Order: sequence, then structure tokens, then C-alpha cells
Amino acid sequence: MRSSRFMTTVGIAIAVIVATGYGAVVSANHSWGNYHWARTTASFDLFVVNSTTEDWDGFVANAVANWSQSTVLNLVQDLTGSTSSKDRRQCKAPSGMVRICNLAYGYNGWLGIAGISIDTSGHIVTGYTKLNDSYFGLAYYNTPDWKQSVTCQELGHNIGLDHQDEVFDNTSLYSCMDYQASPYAWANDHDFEQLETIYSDLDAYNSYAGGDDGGESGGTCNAPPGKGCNNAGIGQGNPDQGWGMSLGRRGAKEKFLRIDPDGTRHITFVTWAEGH
Amino acid sequence: MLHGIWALLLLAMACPAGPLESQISREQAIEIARQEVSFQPDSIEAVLSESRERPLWRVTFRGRLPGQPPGLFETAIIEVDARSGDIVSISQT
Repeated sequence: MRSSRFMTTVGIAIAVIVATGYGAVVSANHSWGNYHWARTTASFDLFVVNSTTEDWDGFVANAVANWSQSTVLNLVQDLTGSTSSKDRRQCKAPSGMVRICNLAYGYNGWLGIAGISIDTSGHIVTGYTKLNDSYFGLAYYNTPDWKQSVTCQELGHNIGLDHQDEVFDNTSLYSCMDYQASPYAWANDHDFEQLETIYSDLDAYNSYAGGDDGGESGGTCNAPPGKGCNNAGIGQGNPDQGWGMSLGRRGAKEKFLRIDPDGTRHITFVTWAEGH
Repeated sequence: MLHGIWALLLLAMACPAGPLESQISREQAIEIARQEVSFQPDSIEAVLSESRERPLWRVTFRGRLPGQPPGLFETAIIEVDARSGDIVSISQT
């Protein structure tokens, strides 16, 4: 049985390799391995913690607005993300969210990189995007088109999209998910259609922060054990107490989010005293 | 001299931290991770690490794409649970 399954897998793999010729992927389906955020509603709000420096804010805002044109998700920017070098180097997102960072990460071969963490059900529970200032400091890449395109593409990965095409010197598909030597800065209709396909079926729980877990669990996380509990719900047992989880700190200002059992969101802005 | 050897032996027995426990071999981890990569890698690196007391294979693939600007290359990093074989995280450029 296992052998038969393995042979089938090998057969499919060979067929895919022959069809694509490796490294020349042009796909009508550009879902990233069908990975997606678990959600119980037709559309959901996904927090993007902005830990970029000011010179990137416009590009992040544009990309967030662009992807939010989707009918199945809405990206919500949190502007209070920490911009400390340490946090930008790690770029670790709070549970259920995406963090986007910039830094001179070195001449390591990539302009931008996006990562997703997966629970045992295959759902995304965190995402990150890193924008590499080592290259964007070079005249060739230090252009609005390159910066906007890479920001758009990496955030596209964070919501479950792969590249539409991986050949740089062919005809442009006019999508930021298409690799091009003359990059295109925005998502196209096919990207939005792909998102509608990826998010067409609802899940039994929410893996993004801020989701109303609802159900009969009394407001506690309703993810199956070990399957991406929504940490934004921490403190739901004491809905009138606490600030909830930190969404990030920038200088003396820190932002907290608490979700009540009825889904009410409490956002608390804290300005810390000097030395705290 | 003999005391020194005994001391070293006792020290070794007292330290519980040994090599990371992995039920998934390096080759299996690479095979699992490979299924997540769409490009032809020029290099593959697999390192056994640990996160929250969970052993992980961190598998890095690097390769060039057609027409890719000089100096850039495609990178994919896949973390595989070294006990269960589950994919824990994926990064790509």
C-alpha cells in the first residue's frame, strides 16, 4: 500500500517535472501548497505588524491596500510594530499575525523572503516578510517598482500564494507574483481569483488573531489540541481584565489587543514611562 | 592522570544533553522538504536543530532561475519535525 502510494507520488512528481521543465513554472494554479489561514467566516481580517522603517511605510501601505481588495480577506496594518534591529532581524510574528520587516540582511541572494509557520492541520499560524536593504541600497534595486513589487509578492506568499511564473525574461503577466526583470508592482485579477479558490471552503477554527472563536467553547480557543490556538484570545476568561497580547512596541509606545468571548476587540495604547 | 579520566567520565554521565533525538533521517527530511520546492536546486543543506525542545531538520535549497538577475538566487527553507516528519515552517523568496 505504502509502496503503491509512493510509486504514485513519484509518478506524479515525474509528470510535473516533465510538464514544467523545472524552474519554468507557469501555473494556472499558484496556490502555495494549498496552505492558508484557517477561518470560520467568508472573509477575515489579518493583522500585518509593520516593523519596517519609515522609508518602507508607503510600500507596505500600498501592498496592504492592494491585497485588501480581495473579497476573501482584509489586511489590517498595525503601525506600532517594533523597529529595533533585533526585532527586525528575527522578524518573528505574534501568533495569528504577519510581521513585515526591513534590514540589511546581507548579500545572501534574496531581495525579499516570506515565511509561514504551519500547524498540524496544515494551516498558517504566523507569517513573516523580510525586505533586504543590502540589495535595495544598490541603485539597480532602489526603485519604487522593485520595492513595491517585492513587498507585494512577499505579502502574497504570507496569504497563501505562490509565484505565477518563475522565468524572469519572458512575457510579463503583470502581477507581482510573476518574476520579471522589469517587475510589476501589483496583484492582478488572477491573484484575486486564486485567493477566492484557496479560501472557498471554511474551516472549523480560526488560526488568525482576532477571529471570533465563538462555538460552545465559552470563548476559549477552539482549535483542535496542538493545532494553532489563537493566542489573541489569551485572557478571555477574564474579559474585563488585562490588555491582552502585545502587538509590538515602537519607542515608548506599545499596543495591546484583547478579544472578548463575544468577539469585541479592545485595543490599548500604552506610552511607557522613561526607563520602563 | 587517572583521576582526570574518571572526572571526565563522571562529567559525561552527569550531562543528560546528548545528540538531538531524531527519528527522521537527513535523507528523509530532504525528501519531505523537496516536495515543497518548485525549482531545481543547485545546493541542499540540512541541519538538525531544536526549537522549544522539538528537534527540527532545517533544510535549505538554493538554485538559479531562468533569467534571474546576477547575484540573486532562489532560496527555500523548510523546517521538518525530526520526530513526526511534519512540516513546521516554509520560507521562500
